[in-house]
Amino acid sequence: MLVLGIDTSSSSASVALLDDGQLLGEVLVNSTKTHSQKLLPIIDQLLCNCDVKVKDLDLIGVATGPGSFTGVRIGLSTAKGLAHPFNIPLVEVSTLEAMGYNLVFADTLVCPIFDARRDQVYTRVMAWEQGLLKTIIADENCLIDELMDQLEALARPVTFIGDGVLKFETRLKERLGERAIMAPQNTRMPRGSSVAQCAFDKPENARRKYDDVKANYLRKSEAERTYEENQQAGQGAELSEKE
Amino acid sequence: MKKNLITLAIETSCDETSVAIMKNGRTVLANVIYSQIDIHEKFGGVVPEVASRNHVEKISQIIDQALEEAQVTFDDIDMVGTTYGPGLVGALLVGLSTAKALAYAMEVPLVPVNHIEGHIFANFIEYPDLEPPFLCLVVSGGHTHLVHVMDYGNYEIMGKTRDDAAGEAYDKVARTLGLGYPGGPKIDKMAREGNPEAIHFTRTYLEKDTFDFSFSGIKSGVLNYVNSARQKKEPLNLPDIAASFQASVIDVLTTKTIDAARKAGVDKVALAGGVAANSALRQALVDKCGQEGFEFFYPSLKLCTDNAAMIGCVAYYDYLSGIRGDLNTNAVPNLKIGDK
Repeated sequence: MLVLGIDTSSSSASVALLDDGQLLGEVLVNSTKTHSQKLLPIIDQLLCNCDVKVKDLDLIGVATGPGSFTGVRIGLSTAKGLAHPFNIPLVEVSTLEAMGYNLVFADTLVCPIFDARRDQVYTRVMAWEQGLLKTIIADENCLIDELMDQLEALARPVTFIGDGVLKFETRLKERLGERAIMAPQNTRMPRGSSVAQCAFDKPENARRKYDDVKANYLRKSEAERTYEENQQAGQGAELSEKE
Repeated sequence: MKKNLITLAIETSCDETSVAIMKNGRTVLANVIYSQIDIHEKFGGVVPEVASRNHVEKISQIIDQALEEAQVTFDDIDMVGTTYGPGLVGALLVGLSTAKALAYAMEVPLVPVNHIEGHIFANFIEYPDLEPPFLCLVVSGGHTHLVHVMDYGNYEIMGKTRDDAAGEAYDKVARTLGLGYPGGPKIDKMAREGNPEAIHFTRTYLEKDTFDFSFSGIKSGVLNYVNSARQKKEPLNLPDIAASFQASVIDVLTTKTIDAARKAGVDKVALAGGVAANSALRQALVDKCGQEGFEFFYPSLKLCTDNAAMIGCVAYYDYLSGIRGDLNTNAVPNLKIGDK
């Protein structure tokens, strides 16, 4: 069973091909080029090197976020476009869940953190227990302080991955002391192989048709939030009058 | 050699998700348009992030709908055409990424298309016998251009707006008058009840011999008129304001179009773009072209709005002239007409 994994939810783009759980190849590019420029070329590079055509694929796992809104959509649109002509099943994979596979069998909690600006993070807390990845705290968009409160309450060592490590390392160490472990750089980025493995491990009922996959933004657009705040404050009418 | 070329075309540059299936350049087998206009109405304009989110949710369904309507399958598709600019970058990227992946998976050529050229080419779909050269006035929410279409793929931009696009001026005036979004159709409708000569708003023609436009002055004229009347607590006759504003915009557009057509030495004039749906503008150009001896062309309403059929039409002619996209093709939000 051939599984293609795609992740473009952060600054890096990564794709991988699994055959019955065995990794045939993986490409990761963390350059400043846009995903639109680098994603399809690396998919082509991977498939050509493995002598695989798109129509040979049995499953496409796609990271649906959270992360860069545009990045997530490029990955999702590409996955949908590849799957559509051959009706290849798609599996939605949380970017954060897939990152649990970057640190397989870690004996600490695994906590990916993505910088979501304004002191916020996209995060999830997981643990490997007897060969299975368990979710301790589901995907959330919260303040870094709120995450640290939650981790302090859990009172267990935590290994941090994700692009948020660079930004929050000092604060995490100050607050959590020796329980905060920063994973090596090479394990911090989302990986196509993790997405592919995660998709492969999911039960059959997780497979979706190409028109039935959705992004996992975890956050509404700025305009929607402002609109809702105004509605709640009963200022909607007032504001539009001022304009 | 296969007789007919079938194109699957995708357009997502703003707030319409559209997919078309075209036979050769000018035969529309399907042109499905999903408009997000209701979604953006409460925000008073198109919100790029919201538009992009809706595109990615809808695109696959719209593709299926187009294939079904056209009664073709992916096996019948010879190429994929897609808008890659100008437009909202996040919105463009959804259609472009989907198109690139489809073309790659099906192993057919990808043809990246300029959205503005698409608007012009809507006329080729409407009039199967229309051939260049002609002069085209392209007016939409984001663009106001006078284009000398010398041949397929060969354009000279004779004039363009230096500030607001005509459609933008409509939207802003509509907001001031409390008519809501989108402004164009609302002003057009209200203007029918008003007197276009009730108020004289200054027409901006810029320097002699230029075919460029400026609509910020006309827009400000209306805003000042409304504000000063409100301060003096004078009643506002909205239909008169709408009709007078519209008359001033249309005067400038038609005058410059006829002058440019004469300068270009063509005997045909075409209208294109979202604002081409404006009934008063159509009528003014019908009259003026008739008086001045130009043959006048304008697309039906469905082909004026953003739609993928017009993109498929450009894709076909660009394909014939050898234009191809590749795996690296990126969105170009400020793409100019004629750039490849």
